[in-house]
Amino acid sequence: MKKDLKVAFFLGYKSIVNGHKSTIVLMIFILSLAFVNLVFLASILNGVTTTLNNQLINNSIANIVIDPQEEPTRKNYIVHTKELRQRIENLPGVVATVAHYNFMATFAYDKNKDGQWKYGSWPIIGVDPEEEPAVTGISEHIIAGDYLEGIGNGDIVLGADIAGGYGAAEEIKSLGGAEVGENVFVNFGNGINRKYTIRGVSKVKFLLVDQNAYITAKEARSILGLSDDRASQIVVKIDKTGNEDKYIEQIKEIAPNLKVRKWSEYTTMINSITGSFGLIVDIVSGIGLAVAATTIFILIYVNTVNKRRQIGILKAIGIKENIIITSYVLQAFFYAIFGIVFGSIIMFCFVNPYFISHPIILPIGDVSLTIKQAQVMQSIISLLVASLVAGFVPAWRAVRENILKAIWGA
Amino acid sequence: MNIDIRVKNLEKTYPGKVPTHALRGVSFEIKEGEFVAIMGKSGSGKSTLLHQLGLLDSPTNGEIVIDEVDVSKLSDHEKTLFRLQRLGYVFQEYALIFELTALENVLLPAFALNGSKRDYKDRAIEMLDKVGLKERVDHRPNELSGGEQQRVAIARALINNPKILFADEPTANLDTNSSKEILELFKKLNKELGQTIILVTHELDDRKYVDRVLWFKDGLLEKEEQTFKEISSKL
Repeated sequence: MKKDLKVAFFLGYKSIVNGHKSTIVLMIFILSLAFVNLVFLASILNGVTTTLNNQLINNSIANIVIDPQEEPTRKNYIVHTKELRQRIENLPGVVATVAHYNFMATFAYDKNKDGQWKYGSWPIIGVDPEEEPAVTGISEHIIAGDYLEGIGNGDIVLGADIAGGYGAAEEIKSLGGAEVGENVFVNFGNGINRKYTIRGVSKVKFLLVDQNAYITAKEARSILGLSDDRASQIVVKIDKTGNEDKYIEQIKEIAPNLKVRKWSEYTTMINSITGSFGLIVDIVSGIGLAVAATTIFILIYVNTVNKRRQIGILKAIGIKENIIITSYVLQAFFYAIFGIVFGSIIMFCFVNPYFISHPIILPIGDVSLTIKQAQVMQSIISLLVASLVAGFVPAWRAVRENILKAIWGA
Repeated sequence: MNIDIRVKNLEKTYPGKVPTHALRGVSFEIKEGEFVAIMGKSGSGKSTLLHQLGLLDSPTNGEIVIDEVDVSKLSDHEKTLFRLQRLGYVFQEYALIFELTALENVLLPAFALNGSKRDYKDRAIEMLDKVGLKERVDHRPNELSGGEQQRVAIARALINNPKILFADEPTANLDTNSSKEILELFKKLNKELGQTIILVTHELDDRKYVDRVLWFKDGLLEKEEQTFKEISSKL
C-alpha cells in the first residue's frame, strides 16, 4: 500500500511538474474562481443580513426589547421602570438599559416660509440623552448639528430620511431639506402640538432608523402625561450578542407579565428578510457548488481523457490500476488545494478589502462581505470532495478500458 | 532448453456485425533464450497474437502458458503483476511517459515493483548504457529522436529482468539506420543476456537477426522457418 502510494505520488508529482504549464495554470485559476464564487456569493448575502442585524442591535433596539404587558389585559406602558431597569442591569453580562417613549406624530415644515408646508408622519422616540449612547449609537451618527442634550424641551433630532436633502431612501416623502436651527411643527396623536427646533440630523443609513425623530425622554413624558417611572419600552444591551435567550429567561423571572423579545423577533420584516436571505444563501451556495463541481469534473475529465494513452501505457508496463487512479486523484487534490489557496488569496487579499473600502450602499446600510468561517470551511470541503470525485471517476473509467483501445484510441 | 511459451489452439475473434477471426486456432512453443520473429502480411494476425502473449488482450479461446503459468486463467490484477514481473513490452510507437525523463521512464517499472527508486537507479542507468543512452538519462521523450525513444522503451522493458521481451514492430517508425541499431541491440541482448525475444515484424531482412520465424497467414500459423542464424549455430 505504501509502495503503491509512493509510485502514485511520484507519477502525480511528475505529471504536475512536467505537465503542460498552461493547463495547470488554467485548472488552478478556474478552481480559484470556483472557490471565490462559492465564498463571495454567500458572503455578500450574509453581509446584507449582518448589516441588517447590526443596524437593529446598534442603532435601534439593542439586544432585548421589553414591551408593556399584553396578557391578560393590554397595557400602554411599563411601570416601575426604575426598579425594573435596576434589577436587569444587576444581571451579570447586561451592559445597560434605557427607557424609550414611542409614538407616531405628524410633522409640518415650511422651508421657505411661504405657506408651502410639507407634511409627513413618522415615529418619534423619547430618549434620555445621557443614557441612550450606552445602548444605541444614534449619537455617533449625527451628520449635522448636535445630539440631544440635557432636558432639551424644545429640541428635536430628525432622522435624515425625515429631514430630506441627505440622500434619503424616500426623499420625496421627506420634509424636503429641513436644516439644523429651523423649526418643525409636530402634532401628536393625543392632540398636543409642539414646535421644535432642529438640533441635529442623524443618519445611520438604515431606513427604519433614519425615519425616526428623537426628543428627550422628559419632553416625551410631558406630552404623554407620564411620570418618570413609566416607559413605552425598555431596551437592553448585553455584552455578547447571541446570548439573548439566557437573559430573556432571567428578565421574564423578574417581570413575568411583560413581553420580552430578542432583537431578531422584534420585527417580522427583519425575520422575513433574514429567513429569505438564509434560503437564498443556501440555494446560491448549492448552485455555486454544483457549477464548481461540474466545472472541476469537466476540467479534470478532459485532462484525464487527454492522458488516456498514457494510462494505457502505464497499464501495459504493469502499473497497477489503483496506482494510476491514486495518481490522478492526487493531481486533482493538488489542483483543488492550490485553487483554494489562490482563491483564498483573491478573496481575503483583494475582494474583501475592496468591499471594506467600497461597500455596497443599500437602504439598510453599507454592506460589505461577511465571510463566515463555517461557510469557508464548507466551501473548502465541498471543493475538495468535488475534486476528488472528479479526479477519481475519469481515471477509474480510463483504467477499466482495454489497454490497446486506450493506447491506440480504437 | 525450457519452454518459455506454450500456445495451444489460440483463437481471437473480434465481435461485430461481421465477426473478425484474427486468430483461428494457433499452437506453437517458444524456448527459453530464443529470438523469434512473427511475420506475415498485414491482417495475418501477428500483432493480435503478440497482444495475447503480452497479456494486453484476452483470447477468445485457447491456452497460453508462459513460464509455466496458464496466463489465460489470471485475473486482470494478476495479469498486471505478471506483466510487471515477468514480461517486457516494446510498442511500435515508443509509448513513453512524456512527463518523465529517460531515466525515470526506465526506472518506473522497477519502482512500481519494488517501491524504491534509489535502489534501482544504478540499474536503470546500466540499462540505458546498454542501449547506448547513458548520456541522455535526463532528457525527456520530446528531446529524443524516434530511435532513441525506442531504445529507452527497450531499456524500460528490460529493467525488471523480464522472462520474455515482446516487441511489436519496434522499427516500423524508424529510419534504416535506427532500425538496424535497434535490431542489433535485440540481437546483443539475446546473445549476451540470453533474453527470450519475440519480435513482430514485416521486414524480410529482419530474419537475419532471429533464430526462428513463425509465418502467419489469415490468423493461422502457416509455417515455421529456421533462419540462417539458427541453422548456422547447429552446424
